[in-house]
Parts: sequence; structure tokens; C-alpha cells
Amino acid sequence: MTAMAHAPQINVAIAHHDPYVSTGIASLLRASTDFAVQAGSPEAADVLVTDYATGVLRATAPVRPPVGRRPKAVSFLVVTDQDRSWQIRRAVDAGVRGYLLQDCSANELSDAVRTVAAGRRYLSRSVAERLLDTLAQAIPTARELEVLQLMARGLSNKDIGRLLGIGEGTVKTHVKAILAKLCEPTRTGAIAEAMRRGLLMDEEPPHGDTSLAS
Amino acid sequence: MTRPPQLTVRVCHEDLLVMAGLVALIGQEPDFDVHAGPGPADIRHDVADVIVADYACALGLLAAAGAAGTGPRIVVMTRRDKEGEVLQAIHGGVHGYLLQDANPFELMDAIRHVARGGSRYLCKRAAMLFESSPPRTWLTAREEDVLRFLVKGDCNKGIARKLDISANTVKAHVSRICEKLHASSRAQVAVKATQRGLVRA
Repeated sequence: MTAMAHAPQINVAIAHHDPYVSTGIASLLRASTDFAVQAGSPEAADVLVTDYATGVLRATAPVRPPVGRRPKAVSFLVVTDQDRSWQIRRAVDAGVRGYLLQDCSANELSDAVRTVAAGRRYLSRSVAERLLDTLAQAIPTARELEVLQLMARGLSNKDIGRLLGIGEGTVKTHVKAILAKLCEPTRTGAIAEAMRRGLLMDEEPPHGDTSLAS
Repeated sequence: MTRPPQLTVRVCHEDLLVMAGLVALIGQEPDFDVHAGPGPADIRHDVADVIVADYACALGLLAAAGAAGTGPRIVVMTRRDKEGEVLQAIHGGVHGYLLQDANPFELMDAIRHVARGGSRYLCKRAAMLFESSPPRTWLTAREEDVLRFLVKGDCNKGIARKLDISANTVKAHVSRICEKLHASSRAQVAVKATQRGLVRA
């Protein structure tokens, strides 16, 4: 099984929202005879290459095969520009087997596909480093994350308390704990650090309200 | 039927995958002749009619070309969609600005459009930002300095020390910035400035 020379072709399907990345991956993989790149039918693939959101979603809730068909495990390989430590952590927690950044080389891409097809994990070097960062960091509780998310909208403690239905004093306690866990002395510093770590969920609707001042 | 005129298109993108995708897609067009990778250092000597480039590469090319305004037309293909970034590129003189979620047909149209020497081609989002943008002198250079440190989490005293001005002056700048951004708190200033890309990372 491990003898690459005699290994059968690896079936690769691509489900990537970015047409340029998607075409790029296909054309780079097609350059090697090791891979059979198919347009649709991810069920039959050994490896499904996806963007971040698709990978996390599908890995969390794998598509059930039609009744009567042998279930086949698809390995997910995410190719993305999302490079924040907690974004990576969330994807790995969701069950993604491989994680590559978009600026990777052609060799890295084919290594990654081969590795996850063989049932192993593949993280590029910088991705692995950032994933390890998350192991060394204090993890905010679910409630603290909620507070953090609202802090990042620029809300005051009072408003956060009202939205979450808790007292302002309680919010204050949470904020203090958040600052300590993020090792930042100020509120704005904590927000900036939370963004750097990728702790904040994207709230902005893509290309939504920009509330421009005239 | 006569052969359609060939347009020479160069692709420069920092992400190899995007580069490969752009080359493959542009190469499919019968009237485009596609080249990959950086051209001559002086872009006025480039044979390309149009260069499709990532954000940093495009701005670099424009800066190198100077004000001469000759040479290939430059189309940015990027994921950067924040107000500050888009405006910087447009004011920098790019001929086209497209976000990477633009479908390939739009890209081909944009390339043909700018190659004809017509007006700038902006995708919907970029056009919207450009049309509704405040004048360029909107935040003063000093306010931008203050904003940069504020977003990092520095307090007024810290900012004052770094910029070698008094804490009161910083305070005045901060309240002026609050007004301009319609923000009611420091944290809100930081959030809005980050979301709109008003500070360079």
C-alpha cells in the first residue's frame, strides 16, 4: 500500500469557492500522473480539496453515502489564506486532515494530497507552528468568547451585559479574565490580539454594510 | 475570418495556486497570449498589454513606473476588500480592481476593457467604495499615526511617548478620530478602523 510506484491513482475532487485557486489546484495536480482530478462526485474521491468554510462544514457533518453503497472515508485537505492559529485549530478539531496555505509550492500541494490520501495528516510548517501555539495558550471559556465577540464590535460593558442578560459587574469580571488570558493590558489591545489569534468569528457579511461616513 | 488581434497578458501573483489558475483560465481565451511571472524590471519595456497582478505586486509595479503612465495596463486581482486598501490602489493608479470572487468571465471582460485604453475597470464592490469614499485628506497624517498605535492597544500616554507629543494632544486627536469615524469609544474606533482597513498592518 505504501509503495508509491505501484500505487493506483489517487482520486481527487475539488470543492473550492475561489475559481482561480480551484483551477490552479486542478492544473497543478493534472501535471502529475499520480492524480485523477475529477470535476464533481466528491463521494468517489480519496481526497477532497476545499476552501476553509467548506472543509470545516463538510468534515464536521460528513455526507452519508446512499443506502447500499459502501461508505468510503474521504480525507479533507483545506487550502486557504486563513492563517490565524485558532482558525487552524478549529479546522483540525472539525476533522480536517490536511491544511495548506495558498502560497504553498506545487510540491507541497502534491505531498499534502498523497499524505492525506494515505490516511495521515499534513500540515505545512508554518501551519503546524501556529497550531502548536494554540496548545500553549490559555483558552477563553465559551462565555468569555461571547463577551470577546461583543467587545470586538466596540460595545461597552453595559451594552454587553444587556445583550447577554447579565450584570455589568459580571461582564467586567469576564473582561478582566479575557485581558489576562490574552496577556493584554487594554481592551483595544485584547481585541487586536484576539484578531491576530483568529479567536473572533467572522461577523461581517461578505461585502455587507460598511457604514461609510460621508 | 480574420484572426482576432492577440492581446498579451502577463500574470504576476504571489500565490502559486492562484497564479496557475489565472494562467490556465486566461490561456483558454483564444485572443489572449498569456505569460507567467515577472517581466522586465522597467515595465515600460514589458511586451505585455495588460498585467494581472496581486495587490502588492501591482502597487510595486506602479510605484516603479512612476508618473510616466506608459507601459502595460495593470489589473489587480486580490482578496483585499477593505475600503482603505481598495482606495489606496485606485489612487495609486491601477487600471482595474477585481476581487477574487469575481467570476472568470468578468476578469476577461476587464482585461479587454482596460486593454482598449478606456476608463478604469472596477468590480462592483470597489466601485461602491470609490464612489462613496470621503476625500483623501480625510484623516490627517498625524491622526493616522495616532490611530495606528491606538489600534495596537496603546494608551494615550504610550502613544504620546512614541510620537513625542503631549498626552493632551493625543487626547484631542483621539476625539477628532472618534468624530470622523462616528465611534463612541476607543474600542469602537479600533474595530471600525480595522474593519475598514484604515491602518496598514
